[in-house]
Formats: sequence, C-alpha cells, structure tokens
Amino acid sequence: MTRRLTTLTTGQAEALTLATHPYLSCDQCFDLVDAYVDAVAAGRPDDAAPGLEEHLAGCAACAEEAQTLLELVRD
Amino acid sequence: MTAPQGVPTSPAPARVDLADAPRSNLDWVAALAAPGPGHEEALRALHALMLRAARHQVWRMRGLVPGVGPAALDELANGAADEALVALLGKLGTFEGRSRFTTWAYKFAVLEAAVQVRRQAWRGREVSFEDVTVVVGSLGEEAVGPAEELEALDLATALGRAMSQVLTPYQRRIAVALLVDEVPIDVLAQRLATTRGALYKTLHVVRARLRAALADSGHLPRSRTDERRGGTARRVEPGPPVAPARPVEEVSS
Repeated sequence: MTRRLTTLTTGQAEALTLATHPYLSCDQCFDLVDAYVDAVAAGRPDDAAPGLEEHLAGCAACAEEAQTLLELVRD
Repeated sequence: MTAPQGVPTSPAPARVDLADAPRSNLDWVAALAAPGPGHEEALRALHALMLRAARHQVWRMRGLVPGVGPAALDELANGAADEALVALLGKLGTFEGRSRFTTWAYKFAVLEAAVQVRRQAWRGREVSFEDVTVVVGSLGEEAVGPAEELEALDLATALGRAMSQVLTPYQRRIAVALLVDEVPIDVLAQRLATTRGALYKTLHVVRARLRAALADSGHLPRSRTDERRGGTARRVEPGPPVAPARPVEEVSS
C-alpha cells in the first residue's frame, strides 16, 4: 500500500530543504555538545565546532537535549 | 496556562547540594575512577546530578506524556539517571576536560531521559512506514496573501516532485516519517532496528538531494557546496517545553 501525500506546510518544506552541511553525526554532536553549551553559557557561542550548529538546526532530538543542557548549566 | 490533566504541576527539581562533591574536573575523574578516599561521596554526588538532569528533561517533555502521573514520571527519571550513571562510568576514560565535568555528566542523563520519554510517548502508537507518493496540490496552512500563496504552492509542488523523483523509496519514507509525521528519531530508530545516527545521515542526504533538485528547477539559489546559504542554522537557546508530537495520520491511501 502506498500513502498519498497531498499537502506540505511551509515548516515541513523548510525542514525538508534545510542546509545541514557540513555534516556532523548525532554521535559527534553528543561528543561536542557539552563544550558548546559551556561556551554559550559563558557568552562565547562562536566557539562552536564546524557543523555543530547546523546539526542542531537539523536534528530536533539533539536540539531539544542541547537546550535542556543549557538550562541546567545556566540554572 | 492550565496544565493538561495528569501533568504534574510541581516545578522542576532544584539545585543539587555539591558540598561533598569533588571540586575540579581532575578531582571528579580521580574520585570516580577507583575506590579510595572520596569515591563513595563522588558517586553519590554524581547520581544526584544525574537525577537532577533527568528530572529536568522529563519535566520539559512532560507534555508528550499527558497521561503519565507525577510518580510514574519520577520513576522514569530515576531509571534514566541510573542508566545514565552506568553509561557515564563506562566512558569516564573518554572525558577530555573540554567542558566542566558536571556539564559532561548532565548530557548522559539528558539523553537517556529524553529517549525514554519519547519512547513512552509513542508506546502503542503505530508508525506508518509505507512508501509515499507525493503529489502536492495544496498547502497545509493559509498564506498571507494570494501572491505568497501561489509562490508557496509552487515551491511545495516542486518539492513534492523532487521527493518523488530524486529520493529512493527508503529515503522518502524516512523523510516523511521524521519531518512530516514528526515521529521522534529515537522512536523511528527503535521501530526500524537501526540507529539515530543512521537515520540522521539518511536525512542529511535527503536534504542535499532535494536542495540540488530545487536549485536545478530554479526554486533555490544554486550553491557550489550547499553550505549555509538558504539554511537556518541557529544557536541553542532555552525555549518552552516541546509541544506534543502529532500522531501519525494517514493522508490517504
């Protein structure tokens, strides 16, 4: 059986065509996110490793977890 | 705002008392690495940190599991903290000191708690993984004006055509499940017996292919390396708790 998709929202279109280069895997994101969050909390967001912010923009799960980590560090 | 029925109304847990905890990154690693002076205190402090992080994550995502009461949520957080503690101790030797030890520790509990909440939220829910024929003929929302509506519809139609033409059936299924049906990546990975990383890699390839096709059709600016142009990379900032994911719905069969 095949589904038939007849509508796309603007948000879905944006998510489908997001530029996520340079590529970074979820495992690499996990390895790097603690140092990134510490840097953001310290006011040094430009210290992000290449591809990390692109990954967070394109991976809802990693972004959710990074935001929680930032809240914990800032609290 | 009124909390949905079943959602705990107590605030997220407060700070952890780290009076007896190691002071520096090196102290943490030394105290945790082997039995000796301060080992038990460090383990207790670490578990308290993990529990705090797990509870915080569960609290943020509580809207995904509105039928789960406070006691069950706390049980979930405790289980996640225990699992995360074991995972952390297994990777203690990989800590390189690029962050504070406490931040490094938190991320294990945050990950474990988030995965468990997502799985709990989708327990018993079907995930559609049929192939998808994409024939976009309408927008999922109203545009601000006729011109914008035409432009958005043109882009959506071109995108739908690209999804049919440049993606494999597997890539199309993954893209629709993650980005249209909003199935959490952990849940989809579990259902398909694959990994979060493998699914994200597929999604990355899907996006590159779709961007290239839309550049060919003149709907996106052509980019030699498909770098940041046209993307919306952003930095993490605290936001509101995530909204419950939409259940999978059949568009039509």
